[in-house]
Amino acid sequence: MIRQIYLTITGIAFIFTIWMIFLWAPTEINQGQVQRILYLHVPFAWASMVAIIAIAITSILFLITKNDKWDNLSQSLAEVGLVSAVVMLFSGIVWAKPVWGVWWTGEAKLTTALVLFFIYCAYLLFRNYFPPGNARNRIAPIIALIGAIDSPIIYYAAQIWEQNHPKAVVGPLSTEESSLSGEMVITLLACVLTVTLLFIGLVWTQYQTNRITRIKNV
Amino acid sequence: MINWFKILLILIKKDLKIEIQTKETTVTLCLFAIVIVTVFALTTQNNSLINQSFGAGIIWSSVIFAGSIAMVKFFHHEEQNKTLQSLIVMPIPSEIILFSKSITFFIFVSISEIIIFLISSVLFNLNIFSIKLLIASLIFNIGYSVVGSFFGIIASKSSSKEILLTMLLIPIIIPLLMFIIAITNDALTSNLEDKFQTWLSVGISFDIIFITLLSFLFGKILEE
Repeated sequence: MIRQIYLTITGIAFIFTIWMIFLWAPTEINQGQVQRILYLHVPFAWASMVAIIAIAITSILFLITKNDKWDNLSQSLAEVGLVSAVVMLFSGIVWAKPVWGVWWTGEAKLTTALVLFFIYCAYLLFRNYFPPGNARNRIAPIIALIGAIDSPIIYYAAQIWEQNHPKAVVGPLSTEESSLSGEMVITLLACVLTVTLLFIGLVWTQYQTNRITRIKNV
Repeated sequence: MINWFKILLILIKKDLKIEIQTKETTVTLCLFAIVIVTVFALTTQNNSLINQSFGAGIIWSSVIFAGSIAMVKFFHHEEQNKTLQSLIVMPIPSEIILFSKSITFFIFVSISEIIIFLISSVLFNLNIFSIKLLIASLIFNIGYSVVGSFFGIIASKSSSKEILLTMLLIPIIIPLLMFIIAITNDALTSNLEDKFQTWLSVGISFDIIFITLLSFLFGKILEE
């Protein structure tokens, strides 16, 4: 029941955010309508990055406690994290073509995002291809942990490779002064909040589904 | 400590002896890599500018894909003959198993790279021999062998070992791949001074982090 109420609130928040994106936030002068894609791209990028950190934490907790719920949570986070990564990549590609003139560059954030997507794929492929049992439950969190530790190294290496992505202008990692107007910043933050709500809701739902599947399999 | 090295040497000798008799892993590795390089040579124009731009990517892609195939073969034999299970029940530190497999694979990859470099320099008219590239290749081989052996042992237990190993290994070694391609590119354009030390720090850091991390985690994947 609580989950249904939560998902309803998320749904309402989502409709409100869509109204903000298309009707309330002003159109950016330089990029035009295509800039609105960023209201979707940034929150999903945030969700996919948060997911890999959360997976690392739940994997460590599983390795310490051996409690199955942490492993289930890792799997659910990876599944939703993968979807977030796909939305992030797709929206980024669609935005990049009209603004940068190319679909893709070998830039740090892009490369890290793509490799992150492959790490999610590898983790979930392992869960599907490896024979079920204790060994799989033991090795899966190790793979997730290695993937999470590798992500900042990939980012560092890719940063030396090339730089083209716009710098963060909103949030704790921002390095430049924001040129976004007040409404745009509010819309972006509202989108981040809504996508975070959606992300938690999806992980919650997926967690319940995986729990039932696991009980059935036992 | 002396015992530790003795056991390590015995395990490496055992793997090398088997390889000298069968020659399966090295032959697979070399032939597959040569085929990839030849296909690229046949499908691209023999233009020195094109070769300088894509040469590094072609050489290292062939090493990585051939290496993955050879790894699958190498660890499949281990799994088939139950050698790994026998090693696990032996009273030896688990990281020795990982290091012995990594060193053996390091030797195989290094041999194949010499052949690939020779053939690539002929087919693409490239001059890629430099001491700095040699050092970088050694750093790459160390990281690639350790991470590859770790995931090779994991994937050997699966029915879809080829796809699983490739999917697990390649995303993780991306920083190492960037490091070696950047250095090879610079070697091809004779511009090696630029970011050599920065890239070297990336390669060495990757090796140190992953050797430490994987030797610690290796015991956990072998627990029964």
